[in-house]
Amino acid sequence: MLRFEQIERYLSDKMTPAERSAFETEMASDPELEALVYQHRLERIGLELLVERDLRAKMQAWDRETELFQQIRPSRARVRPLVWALRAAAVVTALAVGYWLLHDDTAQPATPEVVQTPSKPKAKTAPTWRKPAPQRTPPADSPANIAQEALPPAPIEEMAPAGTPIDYAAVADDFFRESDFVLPQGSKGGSIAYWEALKNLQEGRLKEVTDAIKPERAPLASSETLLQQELLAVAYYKSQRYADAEMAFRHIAASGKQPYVQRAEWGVVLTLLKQMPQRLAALDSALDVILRQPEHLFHEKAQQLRQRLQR
Amino acid sequence: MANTDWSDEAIVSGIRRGGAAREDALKRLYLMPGLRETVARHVLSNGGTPQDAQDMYQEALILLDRNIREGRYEARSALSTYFVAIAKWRWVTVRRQQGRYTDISPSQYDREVDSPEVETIRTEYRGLFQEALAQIGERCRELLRLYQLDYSMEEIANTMGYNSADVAKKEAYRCRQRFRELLQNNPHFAALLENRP
Repeated sequence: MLRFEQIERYLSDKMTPAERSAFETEMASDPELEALVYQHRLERIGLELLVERDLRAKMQAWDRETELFQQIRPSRARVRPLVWALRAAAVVTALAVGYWLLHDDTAQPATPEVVQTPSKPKAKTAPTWRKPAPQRTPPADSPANIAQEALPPAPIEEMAPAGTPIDYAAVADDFFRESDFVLPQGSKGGSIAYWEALKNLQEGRLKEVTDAIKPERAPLASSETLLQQELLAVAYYKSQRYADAEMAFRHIAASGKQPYVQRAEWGVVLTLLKQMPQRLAALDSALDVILRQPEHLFHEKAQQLRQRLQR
Repeated sequence: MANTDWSDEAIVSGIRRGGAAREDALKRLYLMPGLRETVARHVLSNGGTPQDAQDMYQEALILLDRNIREGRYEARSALSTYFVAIAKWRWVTVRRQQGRYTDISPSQYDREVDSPEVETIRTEYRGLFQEALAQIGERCRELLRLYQLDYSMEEIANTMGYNSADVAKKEAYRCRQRFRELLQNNPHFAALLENRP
C-alpha cells in the first residue's frame, strides 16, 4: 500500500522536487517499479472516465435548469389570472362553509359519517366544517389489492415464483418497438448511409446492416455515429444476437449524450429480458436505472414492465 | 459561500481546489454568455449540425477541466479563448475520424491536448475501461471518482459514510485493486502493459 501511495503521489504531482528526483532515480534503476508506474498511469487514464461521466450528467442538469428558468419567466404573466381565479374560488367556498355551519343542526341527522365511533358516544357532536374523507374498504373478492398498492415494487430477485413461469421473451416482444430506436421517416437527421441501413433493417435484411456498420469501441462522439450504432444494436436484437445488442446499447449509454443514452438504457433492459433468467440481477439493476429518473423517456414503460414481471 | 467574482483566475483556482468550488467554477464557465454561441458558429460553419455543436461544447468543458487539473493550462490566453481553441481542436479531430476533409490540422492545437500517446490510449481503450468500471460496482465507482478528483481521505470518508479516513483509504485501495485485476484479465490491456514504450 505504501508503494501504491508513493506512485499516486508521483503521478498526481504531489512530491517535493527532492522526493521526485529520488523517486525518478529509483525508477530508472528498477524496471519493475517503472512498469508499475506505467500501469498506474494507464489506470488513471481509465478512471478519468468516471470524472467525465459525472461532469456530463452535471452539464445536462445545468442545461435543464437553464431551460426551466427560461420557461418559468415568460409564464409569470399567465399565472396571475389563475391566482385570481383561486382567490375567487376560496371566497365562494368560505361562504358555502359558513352557510353550512349556520344550518348545521338541521344537517346533522343526515350525515351519520361524522359520528366518531359507537364505543365513545357523545351527547352532542361538535359541528364539523369538513366532511371526513370516505374510508376506503377493500373489495370483498380481493382483500390484498389495496395493501399491495401501498408497498414499493419489490426487486425482481425477491419476487415469489408464480404458478406459471414468466415468458420473458414474449414480454420483451410486447415492449419492443423498433420506432423507439430509429429516426422516423422524413426526419432531417441521418446520413445517406444511415437511411440505406434503416431501409435494410426495416425490410429484414439484417445481415446487410450488421455487415455495413461495424461496432465501435472508440467513444461515440458524433450524432451520426450514435445513430448508426443504434441501428446496429437493433439489427443485432432482431437477429437474436442479444449479447452483442446489449454490448452495443451499453456503449451508446456510456456516451453520455441524450437522448441516445435514455434510448440505449431501455434497449439494455429489453436485451436483458431476452437473456433471462440468467441475467436476473442485471435486469433488475438496469430497470432501477430508469425508474430512478422520473423524467426518463422510458420511465412509464419501465414501470409497466416491472408491474408485469411482478404479476 | 459562492464566489461572485468570476475572473479567469477564480475559475481556474476553483477547478484546481476541487469539490464544490470546482463544480461552481465549471458551471460558471459552461453558462458563460456567448461562449456556447462562439463554439456553435465554428462547428456549424465547418460542416457540423446543432447537435454536433452541443457535443463539442460539452467535450471542450471536459477537456478543459482535465487540462487544468493536470496542470496543462498555462494562462497564456484568456480562458474563453482557450476553451474555444479546445472545442475547435476537438471538432477537427472528430471530422478526421469521420473521414471528412478539413484544412485545419489538429497539430495547430497541440498545446490544448494530451500527448498523442495518451490520447490514443484514451480513445482506443475506452470501451475496455468502461467494461471494467461497469463491474466494480456503484460504490467503488463513486469512491474512485472522488479519489481521482483529489479529495482527501477525510472528505471521502465523510461523503461516503466511512468511519474514518483510514477505512476510506483501505476501500480505495481495494476498489483500485479490483479495477486493476479486471483490466489485467483483458488480453488487449495485458498486451498494452507488455509493450510499454
